Amino acid sequence: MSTHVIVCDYDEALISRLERRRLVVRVDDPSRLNDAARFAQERNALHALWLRVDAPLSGLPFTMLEALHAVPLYLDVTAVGNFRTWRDQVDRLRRLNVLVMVPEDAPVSYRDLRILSSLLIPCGIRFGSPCPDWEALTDLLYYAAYGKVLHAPIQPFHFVLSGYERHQRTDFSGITFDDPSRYLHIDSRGCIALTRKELEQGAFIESDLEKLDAVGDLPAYQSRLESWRDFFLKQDGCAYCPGWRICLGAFAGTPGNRPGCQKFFAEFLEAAEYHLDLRTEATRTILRPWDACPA
Amino acid sequence: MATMILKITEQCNSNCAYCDVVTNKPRAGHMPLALLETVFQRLNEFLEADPRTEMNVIWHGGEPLLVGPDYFRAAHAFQQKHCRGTQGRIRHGIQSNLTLFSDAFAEPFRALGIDQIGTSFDPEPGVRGPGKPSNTDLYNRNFMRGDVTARRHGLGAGIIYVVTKRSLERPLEVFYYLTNLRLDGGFNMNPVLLYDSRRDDLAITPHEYVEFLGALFPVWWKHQARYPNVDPFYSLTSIIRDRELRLGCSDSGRCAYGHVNVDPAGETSQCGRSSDWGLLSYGNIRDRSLADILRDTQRDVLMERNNILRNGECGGCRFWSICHGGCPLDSWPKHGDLLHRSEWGCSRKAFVERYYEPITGLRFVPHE
Repeated sequence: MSTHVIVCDYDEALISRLERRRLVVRVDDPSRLNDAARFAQERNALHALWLRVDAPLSGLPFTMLEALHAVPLYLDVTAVGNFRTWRDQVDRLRRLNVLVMVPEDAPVSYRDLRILSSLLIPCGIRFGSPCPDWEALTDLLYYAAYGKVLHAPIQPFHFVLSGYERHQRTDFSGITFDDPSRYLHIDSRGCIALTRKELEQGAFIESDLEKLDAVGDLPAYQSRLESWRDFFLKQDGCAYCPGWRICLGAFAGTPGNRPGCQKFFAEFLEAAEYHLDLRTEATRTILRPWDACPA
Repeated sequence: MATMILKITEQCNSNCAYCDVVTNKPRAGHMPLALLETVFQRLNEFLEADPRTEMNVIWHGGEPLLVGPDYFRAAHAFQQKHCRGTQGRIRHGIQSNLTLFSDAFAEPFRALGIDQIGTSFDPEPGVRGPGKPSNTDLYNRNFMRGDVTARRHGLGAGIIYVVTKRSLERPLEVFYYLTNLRLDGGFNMNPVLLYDSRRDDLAITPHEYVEFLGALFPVWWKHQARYPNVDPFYSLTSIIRDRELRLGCSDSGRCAYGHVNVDPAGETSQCGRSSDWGLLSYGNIRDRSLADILRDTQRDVLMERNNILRNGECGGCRFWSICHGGCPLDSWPKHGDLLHRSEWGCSRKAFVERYYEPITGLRFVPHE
């Protein structure tokens, strides 16, 4: 059986065909969250419940969310909203296994993420615009990577800072379930795509759900996993940038990005190295003569 | 350990701008299988006579993959047939541009014990590739495909990057490109060796090579853990800081009696370059044993060179123990003999004195 996590909308007929698989179930109506969780968990391992709403966090029914305290909850919202309307819900949110995602192209998101993080609520930035605000992102990176005040993880920074290995590519597209080596997206007819965007565009890699376990053998799938090499076929592309190993060309194709993205990802890489050193340091045995001798 | 460069073909599917084989109009055809069998008989004879020695066989070309996977299967069969008691002392390696590598090569390579492919790569247009002008796009696409396939079969591929005049325009970008392509390291930056004016647009001087390395070295030194096994920096650091002597054929001063090149017709020479230039020819492997070829008196000049240089041009140089005057062949185009030092050898000294020592604070102390 394929080890991929399957991402699909809450569709009982479809989920019934995906028994014993790990699922991310997407819901666009908060009132259906509990049903979706219950139904998916009857037959599957629920990797996460993904709520995608065109509303701010402040507009969500928090009492309904509380019943989902044991479910990984991915809240994809437009903004945090008015703090005064949800400040009483902070403890409730903290008790949930939650990740609050806000869009990068809303300037208020940078402030919102700092608020959420400082309240110890895991959160993240969802990239959408081809040319993000690199200065604002750099400021947020510094906060996430070097901030001394206790704060919750901010994605994708945390993903990279905690998982970066020097001699491997670091692909943070999994933060939005768009890493084909880990996630496959399926529509209600059982057609399979490699990312959510491709699913929405009807760009499928396989149209027969019965062949789900063979997707990994498809040449098109293999080719996608090696598509990072395409950057090395261009004469003046992202492959020439020191930060490529952690951005993998995610913002290629927008001329206005450079040098902003180069500078940002070079800073990001330095932060990743710093955290790698911290992790390595944590595993070192340090002589402490005042400790008891090991037996 | 002795080294045999086994040039089974001079044909190549690429037309690289700096290749001597291409420039010399390569001979048609591959080494006949009957001759390849003779090579294995000679190998066995040589290894049986000296049970302490080993032979490093480097399959070379032209492009050696042009011969097809069955050729390597035949090679393995010859080894099984003729080298039963000595095959454990034969190490196989291969130098290929990878563009023809396919699944079919994996099994015969495994049988021969090949787990690494030496290759070369250059992203700059017009430097490598088939046709005139070189079709770099096609070459690079095929290289990537071959690299994917090789890695899938657990074959590592170390890259040689040839530093040309075009590299000088953006050294750091080239460095990042190569380190991104090989995150786990394993590439070497060698200067392009062009001894005439046929490609002035690519040729560089030893000074330019030193400056190229100097532009990269501070970044490498600061982030050595991020960029492992990047040569010449890694090897130099092993030599200077870790006191491990890691020298190649051009620096060791010991190539005289340890190297032999066998061309597709069985003609032997000192090495690939001497063969390309028609120098230091030792006769045909059909007619002479490997022991005789490796003891040929023409080789004595390479040993004498060590004494001549040490007491002459290289006298008093504190880098002698890691340079030995560089590759003797470098002396030929300028002086018409093999007895002068290589300008490229001196570039190592220049790099260490101008960049390595000031940046690292380490000082090279000659080895005993």
